Amino acid sequence: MSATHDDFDDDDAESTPGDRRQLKNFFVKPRYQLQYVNWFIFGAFASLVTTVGLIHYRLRDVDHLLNSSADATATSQIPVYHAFSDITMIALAGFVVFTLFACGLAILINHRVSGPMIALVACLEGLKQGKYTDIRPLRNNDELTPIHDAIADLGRHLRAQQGTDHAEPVD
Amino acid sequence: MQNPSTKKLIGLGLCFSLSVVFVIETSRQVQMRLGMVQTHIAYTEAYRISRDMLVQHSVGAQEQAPESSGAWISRIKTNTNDSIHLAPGGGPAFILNNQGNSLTGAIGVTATNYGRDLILTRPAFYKLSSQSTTIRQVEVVTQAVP
Repeated sequence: MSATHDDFDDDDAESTPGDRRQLKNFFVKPRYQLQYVNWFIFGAFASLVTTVGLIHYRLRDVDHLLNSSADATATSQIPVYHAFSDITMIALAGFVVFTLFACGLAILINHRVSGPMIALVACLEGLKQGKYTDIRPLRNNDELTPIHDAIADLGRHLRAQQGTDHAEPVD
Repeated sequence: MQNPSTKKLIGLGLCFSLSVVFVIETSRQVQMRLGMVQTHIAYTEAYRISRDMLVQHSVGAQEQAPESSGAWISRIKTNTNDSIHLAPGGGPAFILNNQGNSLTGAIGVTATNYGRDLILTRPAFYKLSSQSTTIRQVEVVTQAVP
């Protein structure tokens, strides 16, 4: 799920400067822009379809209740009232389920982004202090791995450059 | 040739369009059922009121029962809540005929035998099946006073 450094080299949507503002180039990097949005859309669509399906199922019961009651007494209204109460509950339950799903997804995204952010700041601080190879690896599925990999490369490069500088004879 | 962004946008648009269609259709179906329930409530309330009225008239608690269909409608409206005075499709909730109105959901009211027999007809409104009941003063008295 997490993006890697090499993935950024692949252009999912080849764009030229001239057509950057076109709608078709809205998702320049769909793999990164949509990886969580896909889950969000899937959750929203699944909860909507489930809610709508259950409501339609209960509406069929309403049809059956209204057409099957042979008597015209007021007691025939009670099951219909219960059916509409159920429909209201189903709609509310669908909303609650989607809200919980969205909150869970937001927490997951926050977990996978804020952790690497802290690690990256620590990496940069280490680089400032000359600790070029003391870079903590990120967890599996963490975000911002391309930035982390680039900083690690930078650290290695700086260390190699420093080694070269020290190796040069001073006249 | 479509690029990945265009495909994704089409997919998103499809999901969004389907969601909108689902929501609108469900809302329409719920509205339809609410109209059917309103018609059914008007029908059951008219039955309850007219039956009670005939019983009261039979035991002498009420001086005179309505003698015409129009008078019955007035009496039913007087004794029911304002919320069921209008049909779900518009217009009056009770009309003078023996079929009702399947377009508006109005209940048909027909009085015969000088108002002693009353025919209430629930129309085939949307998915509601047509239903009719005849309230006869003789039968009501028999049931009320066994």
